[in-house]
Amino acid sequence: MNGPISPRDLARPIEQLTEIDPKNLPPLPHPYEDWEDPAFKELTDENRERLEHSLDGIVGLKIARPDDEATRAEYVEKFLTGLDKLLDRESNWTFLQPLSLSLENCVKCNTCADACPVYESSGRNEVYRPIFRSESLRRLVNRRRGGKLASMMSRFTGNDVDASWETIARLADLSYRCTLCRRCAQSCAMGVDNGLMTREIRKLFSQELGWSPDELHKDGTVKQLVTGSSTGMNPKGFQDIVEFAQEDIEERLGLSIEIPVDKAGADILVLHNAGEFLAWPENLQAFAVIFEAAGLSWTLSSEIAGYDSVNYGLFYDDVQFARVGMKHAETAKKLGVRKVVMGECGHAHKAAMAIGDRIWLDELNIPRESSFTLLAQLLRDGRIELEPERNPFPVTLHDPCNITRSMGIVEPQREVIRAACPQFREMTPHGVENYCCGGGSGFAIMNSLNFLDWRMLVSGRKKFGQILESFAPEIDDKDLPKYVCAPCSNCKGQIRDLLAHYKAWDRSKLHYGGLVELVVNAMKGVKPGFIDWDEIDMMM
Amino acid sequence: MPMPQIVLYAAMAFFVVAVIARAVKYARHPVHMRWELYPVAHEKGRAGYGGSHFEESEHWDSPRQIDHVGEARAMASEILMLEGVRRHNRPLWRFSWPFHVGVYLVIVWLGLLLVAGAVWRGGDAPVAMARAIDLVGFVGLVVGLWGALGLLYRRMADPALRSYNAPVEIVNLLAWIVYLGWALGVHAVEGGFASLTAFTGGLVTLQPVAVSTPVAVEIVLGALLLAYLPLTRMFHFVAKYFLYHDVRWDDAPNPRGGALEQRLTKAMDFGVSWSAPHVAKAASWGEAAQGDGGQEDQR
Repeated sequence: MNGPISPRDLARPIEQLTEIDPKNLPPLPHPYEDWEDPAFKELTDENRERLEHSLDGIVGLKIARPDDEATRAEYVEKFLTGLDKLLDRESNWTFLQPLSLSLENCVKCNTCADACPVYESSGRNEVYRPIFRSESLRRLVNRRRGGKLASMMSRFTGNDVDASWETIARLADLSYRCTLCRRCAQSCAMGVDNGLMTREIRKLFSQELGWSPDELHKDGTVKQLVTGSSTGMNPKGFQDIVEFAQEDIEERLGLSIEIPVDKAGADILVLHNAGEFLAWPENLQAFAVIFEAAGLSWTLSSEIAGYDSVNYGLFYDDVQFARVGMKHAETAKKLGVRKVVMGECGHAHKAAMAIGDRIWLDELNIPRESSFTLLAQLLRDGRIELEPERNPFPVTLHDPCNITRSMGIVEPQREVIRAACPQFREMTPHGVENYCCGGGSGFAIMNSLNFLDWRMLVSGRKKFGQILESFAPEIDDKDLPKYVCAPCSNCKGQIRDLLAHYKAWDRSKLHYGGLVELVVNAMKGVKPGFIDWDEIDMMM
Repeated sequence: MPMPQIVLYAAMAFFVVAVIARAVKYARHPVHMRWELYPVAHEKGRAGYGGSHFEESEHWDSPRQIDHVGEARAMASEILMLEGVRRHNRPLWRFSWPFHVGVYLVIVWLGLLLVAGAVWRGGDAPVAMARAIDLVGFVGLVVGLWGALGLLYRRMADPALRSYNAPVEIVNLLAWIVYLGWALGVHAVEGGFASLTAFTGGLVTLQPVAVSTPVAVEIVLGALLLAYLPLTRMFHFVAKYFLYHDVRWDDAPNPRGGALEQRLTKAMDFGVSWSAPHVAKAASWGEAAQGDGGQEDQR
């Protein structure tokens, strides 16, 4: 539409509220001055007819467009009922206090806008402004709570968003244009959390209307609870992966390691993101090499959901979150381990350790620890020793939002990386002020239709620019490999996709990987070359 | 009893009740999931870079180091300097800070007026007290008015702020501008606050003191503003306390058998009224958490 957009325009019965023109996106730093962003993938006529895309032309949620007015009205009524439940002390006890406080106390200073990488990287498209989304919810809630008086005074109070099919369909999609990184919340002097409100919108649609991305729900939490993993891997498949990992370790490093599975009474249960097993098996292998060298008593589990630490419920649904969390806790209890160690997965850390701290109750309350703190402790205790000169290449560290900003785990991973990598340099900003990779809140696994284009061009743009800047002194050296350490599976997947999209290996020899791979690559007593640059070059 | 006194007593009573009601409302919300955001100000030795107790290996076995002084310092910095706005939105802070400082000084000024009224019962306060009242009063009114005018200008001139600010937000600022401007004008003409000191003496002793019409208007305007504040977002002091202490800095762990666990166990008995197919069959949260969420029909 032409002219400025405001939240009340969500209800406008027009084909599409806004669009993103790649030409208006902010430029990337050196050496991408010549880079031309491709156009977004065109939706087919059938998709345009069938799927909701009226927010910005991007299809993330894949909401089917109802054929008749009655069905539309039914969805609107469900949405309004969902609003009531969102504010109910029993139905939403899990987040009622944070939500109420954020709903009622925004002073509309707009400070959050400058903190949001999606808003900035979109060329400051109005619908991506953090307050646009939260203000839409706020106005709908105020209208609902205020009754007829609120409707009559809507122009004066600003509560002017009408609940219509267009409104709810666009709001649902809009809740999947924020990575829930909470950088905006950090900049809010009041303490209002737009990220939380975005998650509450997602939750309303999932728990009341059954609307959620297939990648997170049907092929995510449901698949994990039924078959064992959101990857679709069943316990037998997992056992095969473990056997393959043992063979690969022997072949690559000459080490004969038996990876323990279902070892009752082990000291540690390690929970990995099962996506690692398929996309980056070297991560599982590196953990095994380190833990065996350190002489730890540890095990993996082959229980349903016990070999996959992901909990996509964190991103969209409290019920599914609790279900997956319970499975993880029950796995640990059954094995009788003393503690659970979280592998390199950011949201799994937050799900099990921070939010999960109020789900893993009573006898299921088995202590949980980050692998970063354990690795740092192993180094301090001298249980593993490093030869950092074996990592002579430049390395930077991406901070997963869920581990840093939402959990305050900042230094242990730095302690490890500084010990392992003499050419380590920080990104700017970093730590709790980091920028999201652009794949947060489930985006890293959402690829359908033109959503992948959106997360490459928009949500991941800031992070890609940050990566380039962190390697500025060597960025033009096309023979020198550079390593982006992303100790989180979702972030790693997003950075993999970003580097491929921007042809960063060919242009600047940029590669990515986890933290433990750097450790094993520099470990005394382990054959050099765990990170095999020649092999990487051949694969690119 | 003259109208200004009646209006003021009523406004004060309403203000107190409304503030308590708001605080009770937030305090009585059920326990919620952890949702802290770092830096957390009471993390001893770690707040500076945003670290947490989770950074310790086997953190559950090491005592949490709570830095109460650090937390108090962060709160003082936020209350007195509006540190968050100063750091993240300097252009706004240039008006927001004077406005808040002005309001704080006006509160101190009203406190001094009440003390002077109570101690000297409407008689002449000592010179030092009168000068303190003059100084704090005039500085507070001028600085607050400057800040409020600046905020109004920014909200109307900045396109981003303008599009999210409804008329009510402008009215809220105008309410402050009218009150502060009127009070400043009245006492600039009067050359001090002697009339108000006498009036507050009457308030304390419950003996009405007659005031001029301009001062009566000032008192009524102030009373109406006082009563209006808790109904608006302008009064965010109480909410901010909860936003920081109960959400942003709430990193309280949940040890087995502790009081928090008892509250959470009770919450698991709460009913689940959500209607999506994967949720609908559960009677309680505890029961819902045992399901597998499968076999439902999406959309």
